[in-house]
Amino acid sequence: MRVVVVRSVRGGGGSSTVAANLAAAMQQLGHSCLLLDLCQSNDLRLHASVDPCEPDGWARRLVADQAWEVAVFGAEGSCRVIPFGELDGDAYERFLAFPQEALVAFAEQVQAGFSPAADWLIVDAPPLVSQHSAAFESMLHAFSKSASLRLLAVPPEAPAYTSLRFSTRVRNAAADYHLLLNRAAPEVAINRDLSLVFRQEFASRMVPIRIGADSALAEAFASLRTVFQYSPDSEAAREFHALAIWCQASLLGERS
Amino acid sequence: MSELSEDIRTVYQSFGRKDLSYKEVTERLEYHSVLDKWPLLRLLHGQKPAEEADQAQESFS
Repeated sequence: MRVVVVRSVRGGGGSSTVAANLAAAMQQLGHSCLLLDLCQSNDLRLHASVDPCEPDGWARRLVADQAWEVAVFGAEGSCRVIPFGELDGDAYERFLAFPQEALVAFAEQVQAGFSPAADWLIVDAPPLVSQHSAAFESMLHAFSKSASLRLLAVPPEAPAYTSLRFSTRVRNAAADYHLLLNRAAPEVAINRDLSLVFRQEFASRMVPIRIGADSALAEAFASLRTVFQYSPDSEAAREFHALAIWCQASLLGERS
Repeated sequence: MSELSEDIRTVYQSFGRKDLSYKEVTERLEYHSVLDKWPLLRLLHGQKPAEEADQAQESFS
């Protein structure tokens, strides 16, 4: 099983949208995909038609000392998703206090347990600019270390650029990530100009495909679908298809 | 294939490069004009002259 970790620089960077639609594109290419949500916002499941009122998820089950393997949603033949789960204040406190070994073991179990069934594990991880417990960081590191591909969804906007270029902590954390321009809107001057700046300053790490600011993506999310289900002829669907092919091609020759 | 003309070669050399394509040269020129255009980018890049910005970019990438 190949692992792809998708993150954004800051919150709202679109990592969930990228992860879900990349998985759908992979699925269309004939690969079985498993999506894993490591974000407390618990949004990824909505792309996979999970009921918004459904509170189940891996973190909720770990905190309740229940088997997380049961918290897998999705029909056979479509992407399956393991949501983060809804945690109230007390449960989140308990999650933050969770021991490092347990979270690292979870990372290993996900990869080992689904390895024959899923060709790709696509992990939606929290933004680089966010605070976590040391145990959670260790789990993120475990996923990142075993990932074949690490993608950073970057909107060509000033806050993301400023953090990525001039914050030492963010720059170091992003060092082994490919940059994927997301929500690119060439009709907006600063967006177009920053796209050029990213291409010039991060040339060797840019994914050669960019995801445009297509309204089909927002509408697909509100319809609890991926863009392939909601608008298969949209520009966004074509871009995610190209991204999936690029992911495959960039891993050619690598053992899965 | 025809040879590069001397005036184009001079432009290439002014960027410290020898074999940049026309597109790359154009993008590089546009890049510098973008850095000058937006006050935030100008401040973040410390209002460096073009050559220094180039060197910073090369050492970063």
